[in-house]
Amino acid sequence: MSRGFRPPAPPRLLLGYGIVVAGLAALPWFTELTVYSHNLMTLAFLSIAGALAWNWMGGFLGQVSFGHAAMFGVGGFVAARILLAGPVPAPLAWLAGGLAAGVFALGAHPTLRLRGPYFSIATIGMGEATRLLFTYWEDFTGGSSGLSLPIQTDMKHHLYWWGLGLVALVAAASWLIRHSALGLQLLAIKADVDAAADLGVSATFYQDLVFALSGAVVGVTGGMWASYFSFIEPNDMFGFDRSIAFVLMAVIGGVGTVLGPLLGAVVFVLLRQYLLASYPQLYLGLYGLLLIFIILFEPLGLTGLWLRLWRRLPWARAEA
Amino acid sequence: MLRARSLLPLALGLAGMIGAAAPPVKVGATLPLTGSEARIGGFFKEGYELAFEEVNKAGGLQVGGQKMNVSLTLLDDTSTQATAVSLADRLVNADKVDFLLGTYSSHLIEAQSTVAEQYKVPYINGGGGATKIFKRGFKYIFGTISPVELLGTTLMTWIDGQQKAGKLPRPAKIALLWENTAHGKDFRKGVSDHVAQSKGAYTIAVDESFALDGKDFGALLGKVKAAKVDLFLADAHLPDYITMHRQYVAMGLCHKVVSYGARGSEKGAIEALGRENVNYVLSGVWWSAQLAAKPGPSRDFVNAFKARYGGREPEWFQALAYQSAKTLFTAIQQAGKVDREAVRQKLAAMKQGSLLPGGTLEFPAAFGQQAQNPFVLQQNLPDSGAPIIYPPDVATGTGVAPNPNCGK
Repeated sequence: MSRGFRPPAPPRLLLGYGIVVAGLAALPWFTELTVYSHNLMTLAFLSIAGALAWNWMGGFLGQVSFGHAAMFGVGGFVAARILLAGPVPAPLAWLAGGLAAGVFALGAHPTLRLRGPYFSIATIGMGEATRLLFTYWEDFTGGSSGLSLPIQTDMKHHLYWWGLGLVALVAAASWLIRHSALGLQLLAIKADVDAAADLGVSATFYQDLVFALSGAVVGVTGGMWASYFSFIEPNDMFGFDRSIAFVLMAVIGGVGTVLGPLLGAVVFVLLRQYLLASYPQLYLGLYGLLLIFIILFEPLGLTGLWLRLWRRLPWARAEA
Repeated sequence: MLRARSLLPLALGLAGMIGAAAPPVKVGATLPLTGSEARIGGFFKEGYELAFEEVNKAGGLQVGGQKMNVSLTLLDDTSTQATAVSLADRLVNADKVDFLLGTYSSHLIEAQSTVAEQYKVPYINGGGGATKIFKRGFKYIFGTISPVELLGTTLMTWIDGQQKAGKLPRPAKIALLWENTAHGKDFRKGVSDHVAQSKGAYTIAVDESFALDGKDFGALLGKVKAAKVDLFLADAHLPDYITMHRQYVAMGLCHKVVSYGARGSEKGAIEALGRENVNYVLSGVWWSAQLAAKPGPSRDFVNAFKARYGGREPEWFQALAYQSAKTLFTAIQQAGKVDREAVRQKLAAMKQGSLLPGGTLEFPAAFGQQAQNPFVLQQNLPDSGAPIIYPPDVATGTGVAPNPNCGK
C-alpha cells in the first residue's frame, strides 16, 4: 500500500520559500536595480551561501571552525586554474573547485577528534598553514602576485542568478539537515559526543561528512568569487580575515539557526558597505557597536531578536 | 509688494545663472585609510586633496570653453581587495563618477583596476609599481609610478660605479632578499638581470623570498650571516624594513652596501630604529623633496604642500598622488570634454612636464602605459640627513661606500 507523497517541508513554507526565491530572481527585471546594487546583491548571495555552509559545522555540529578560508581558497584557485586552462563552462569549474575543497576538508580529519576551543585553535593552524603553502606554490597560485582571469562583463551580471541559485540550494539543504535524522544526530554530537557514540551515532563519520559538505559549498563560493573579481591572490583568498568573516556572519545572524547566517551575511555585506560609503569616519565605531550589542544582549543574534519581537506581537501571543 | 515684484526677475535670472553653471567633474577614488596600509593611504589622501583644492581655488578646469570645478569622492577600502573592488564599483555605478584615481599598493590596484577596465573608466594610479599590473593588456589603467624592476637596475648602476672606483670588491657577493609579491619579484628581476650581464662582477650567494608582514626574519638573516656576503640588497615594505633591520642590527650584521629597496629614509623608520642604526642605508625612491632644490614643479609642490600641511615636508607618496591627479586634470583639459574615451586617448598620447625625476611624464604603450621615469637614490648619512646621491644631475650629496660602520 502506497503511503503517498510527503513533501519535505510544510506546503506553506515551501510556497513562501518559492515566492521569495522567484521574487529575488525576477527583481532585476522588474525594478530599476542599479548595476552597483545588482553586484552588491551578488556578493551578498555568495557570502550567504558561505555562511550557511559554515553553520553546518559551527552551528549544527558545534565545531567552530576558524579555517574555512582554506576551503574557500582551494575552491577559488582550482576553479580559476580550470578557467584559465581552456574553454570550460564556468559552472563546471566552480563545481570542480567545490569538489577539490570538499576533498581538501577531509584532510582535517585528525582535528575532528578535538572539541571546543581545541578544535578552533587547530583550524586556525590549518588555515594559516594552507595560506602559506598556497602562497609559496607559485606554479599553481601565482604566489603573492595571484592570478588574473579574463574580464567578462556578462559573467559578473549572470553571477547574480548563479549566486541566488546556490543560496536557494544551500538554504534548503540547511533546513532539510536541521529537520532530518541527520540533523538530530548532529545535535546529539554537539550536546555530548560520548553519549552520542553510546547511542550508535558515529561522530567521526558525521563530522567528516559535514566538514566535507561544508567545505565543498564554501569551495564553490570561492570559485564564483574568483569569476566575480577576475583576480585572486592567496593572502586574500586564504586570509584569516575571511575565516573570521564566516564566523561573524553566523554570530550576527544566530549560530545554529537555519536562517540566522543568512541575516548575518546580509548585515555583514550590505550594512558594512553602506556604512563604509556613507559614514566613512564613523563606520568602524557604528559597526563595532552593533557587534558588541548583538554579542552582549542577544546570543542568538538577529534571529533571537526577531523571535523576541515576534512573541510580543498580539497574534503570536494569542497563538501561544 | 512692488519692490518684491521688481526683484523677482532678478532673482529668477540669478537662479537661472546658478542653474546653468557647469556641474563639477566627478572623480572617485578609494584609499586604504584603515587597515595595514592606513599610514600610506593617509599620505596619498593628502596628495589628492591638495591637487583638488589647488585646481578649484584657481577657478576649476578649463574644459571646452567653460570652467568646471572638480570634486573628489574618496572612500576607505580598508586595505582589502574585495572592498576596494566593490567600492570602485559603487563609485562608477552608483555615485556615477567620471574618472577614477587609484588606491595604494600593488595587490589592491591589481584587483581594483579590473572594475575600471570593465566599465571603461580611465584609472590613474601612483601606488602600484608592479609591472604585472601593466602586462594584462588593459587600456584604461595608467601608472605614474615607475616599475620596481627599474629600482633594482638603478641601485646596481650606482654600485657599479663604486666597484669601478675600487671601493667595492670584484666580484662582490650579494644577498638578495625579496618579499614574495609582484613588487619583490620585480626588484629581484632588476638586480638579477644586471648581475647576469655584469660579466662576473657579482655573484648572488643568497637569493631568498619572505612573506609580506613578517614577524621574524631570524632564519633568513642567519643564512645571510653564514654566506659572508658583501652587499645586502633587500626589497621590503615599510613595516618589514623596520622589523628586519631591527633584527639585522641585533644580530650584529654589517655589509659594505645595505639597501631595502624603496625604504630607508622614512622619518617613521628612523624614529623606530634610531638614526645611528640606519646610517648608510641606501634607498631608491620615485621622488624626493630634495628635487625642490631647483625651481620647477617639485619646488612648487613642496611649497604648496608645506603651506597646506603646517610646514611638514612631503614624501614620495604624496608627490605621486598629487601628480596622478594633476595628470588626470591635464588630460581632461586637453580632451576639452568630460568624456572617458577622449580622456583615455589624451592620456595614452600624453607627454607633459611633471615633478617626477626626469621632468616629464608619459605612458608608453610598450610598457602597458606605465611611466618609466628614473629613480633617485638616497643614502642616510650621519650629519646630512638623506641626500640624493644619484643620478648626478640632481645629486645633493655624495654617496659613501663601503659602509664605514663595518670597520668599527
